[in-house]
Amino acid sequence: MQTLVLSNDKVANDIYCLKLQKPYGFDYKPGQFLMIKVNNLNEPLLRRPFSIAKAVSSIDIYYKIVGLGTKILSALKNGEYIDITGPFGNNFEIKYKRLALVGGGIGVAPLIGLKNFLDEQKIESECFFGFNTAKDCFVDFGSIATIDGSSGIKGTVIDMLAHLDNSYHVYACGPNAMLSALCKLADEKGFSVDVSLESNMACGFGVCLGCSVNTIKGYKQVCKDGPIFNYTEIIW
Amino acid sequence: MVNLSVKLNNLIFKNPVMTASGTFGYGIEYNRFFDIGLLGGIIVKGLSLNPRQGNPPPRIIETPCGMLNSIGLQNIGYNKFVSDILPQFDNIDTNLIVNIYGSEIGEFVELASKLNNYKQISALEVNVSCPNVKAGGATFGKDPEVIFVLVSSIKKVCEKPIIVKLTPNVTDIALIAQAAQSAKADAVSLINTITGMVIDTKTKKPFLGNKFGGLSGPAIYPVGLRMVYETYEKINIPIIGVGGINSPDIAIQYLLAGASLIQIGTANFVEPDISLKIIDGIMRYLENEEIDDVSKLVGLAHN
Ligand SMILES: Cc1cc2nc3c(=O)[nH]c(=O)nc-3n(C[C@H](O)[C@H](O)[C@H](O)COP(=O)(O)OP(=O)(O)OC[C@H]3O[C@@H](n4cnc5c(N)ncnc54)[C@H](O)[C@@H]3O)c2cc1C
Ligand SMILES: Cc1cc2nc3c(=O)[nH]c(=O)nc-3n(C[C@H](O)[C@H](O)[C@H](O)COP(=O)(O)O)c2cc1C
Ligand code: FES
Repeated sequence: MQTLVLSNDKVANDIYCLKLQKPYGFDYKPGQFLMIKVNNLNEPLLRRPFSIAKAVSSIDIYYKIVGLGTKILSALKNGEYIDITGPFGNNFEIKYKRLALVGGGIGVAPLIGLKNFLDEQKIESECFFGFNTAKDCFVDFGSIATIDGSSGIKGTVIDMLAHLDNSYHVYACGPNAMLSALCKLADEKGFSVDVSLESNMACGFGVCLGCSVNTIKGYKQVCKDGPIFNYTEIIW
Repeated sequence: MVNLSVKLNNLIFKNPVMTASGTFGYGIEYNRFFDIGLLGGIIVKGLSLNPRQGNPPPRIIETPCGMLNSIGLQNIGYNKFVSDILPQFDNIDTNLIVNIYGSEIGEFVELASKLNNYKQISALEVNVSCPNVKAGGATFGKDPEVIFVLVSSIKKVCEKPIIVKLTPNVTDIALIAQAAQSAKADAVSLINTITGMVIDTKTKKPFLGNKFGGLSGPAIYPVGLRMVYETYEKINIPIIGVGGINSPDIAIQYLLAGASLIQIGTANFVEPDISLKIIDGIMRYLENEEIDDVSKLVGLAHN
């Protein structure tokens, strides 16, 4: 679907916020994602998956430049059109526990929409976000940790989680190193964790079978069965 | 009005555009994008007697103007297919073609004879690009004698048209097509993916979990086109062209090279309704060229 670009601004080091006009009837649940064709050429060929960070007045996406597709995306100007499909995937399920949102780097993006949703529903939650430096930070809420101490506490996001116990449920997204440290802590402290996973994707809606992740119940598709999985399901 | 319909034996295709196996799921998934009954045909994901898990991830990686996949023929298996999927096709007005494969001839034959009983199925497409367990893992599709035995055996148990899907990973694809024709195949489709690999320079190891994968997408269309062209000069049965088609222009090139029908693969991932645009584009080309029947395009590139 051709969608109008409302704005596409740099919000942190290599990180942009793309706002798209919300198509009529567009509905999404926190945790879902879009597939974006960054241009109408054969290169890059495939659509790129991006979490929907918000879809209130516009569809907001936060993305980091990591390669050709995201580089091309960053050159988009307001008034131009871009082709999207979706929303795809499952969503964060709200649990009747104390809720904590834990994100690292660009992995914070899907948690923004979740926070928004929880606030709307008047459900309390705590947010913990980690970045390398203050220059990488693109959120204005939650407790922040940076590796170099330039913003918030000095250390990783995991260092802020010492108080979590089995009364908590955590929603997490971030680099693998962060997720594995988090899951180790979860095993020790007894809190439960849902993670938003990434994988290379071709279609985004379950037909190419290219985005498999190994789980205790066999291979599952990140795009359709996920991207949100309970961490105990995943064979890391 | 131009005529877009194509006949293959007793089967009528309302237009020459079908969707390729493994790129269109079981068809139903695409109903959220458009009415799949508008297609000439739908070829579903490769089916085996028993369900298969597929290969370890990562399974796909993008390459210049293409992608590599090593899905490993993950599928739900015969039982689930006939109980859950087939009934959904009762009222869909298109040709449903089931792509089948096995690890030995007996498996192909058993599956073909079972599928022969279902009225929703228009034809079978036999995927011979998979490893043959009995022949020590070599590919069925590389040996003309094996192809002959395989196709003849399937023809004995199945009355539906049999399409043999050929692999491009051979020296002379026309030779394999001839073997399929001798065994009374009703058509051949070509090409399947071209074997390739990508190495991750960070880990210094093959990127795909299965090391090798199949290359598809616009990058491969000149190869598929050349193979269709060559095969057209060697056989009399219809050819179904597939490989890298993502525009009406490339689709028309395949028809000119000798394909009677075409299949859209990887392009379905990028643009789910691409097939409709291609049907429309072929129609407009014929109108502009004042050609009243799509079958008149077939093979025009030859002398
Ligand atoms: C469900 C889902 C949601 C996502 N949400 C967001 C989001 O909100 N914001 C965001 O910035 N990114 C998100 N991503 C990651 C994003 O899709 C990739 O960064 C993007 O596809 C890279 O495209 P590219 O052409 O720029 O890079 P490519 O040229 O494809 O790759 C360049 C480099 O980036 C790495 N890379 C490629 N794809 C991924 C990936 N999926 N994950 C991690 N590294 C990758 C490659 O290993 C390579 O080294 C999400 C991915 C998934 C699966
Ligand atoms: C992800 C993927 C899965 C595929 N699965 C099958 C399959 O199960 N059986 C088969 O015969 N071909 C399979 N193919 C091959 C395609 O049907 C087609 O022959 C090939 O991709 C070339 O066409 P394209 O370039 O238009 O994609 C698959 C291709 C892709 C990309
Ligand atoms: S991306 Fe195609 S099945 Fe998940």
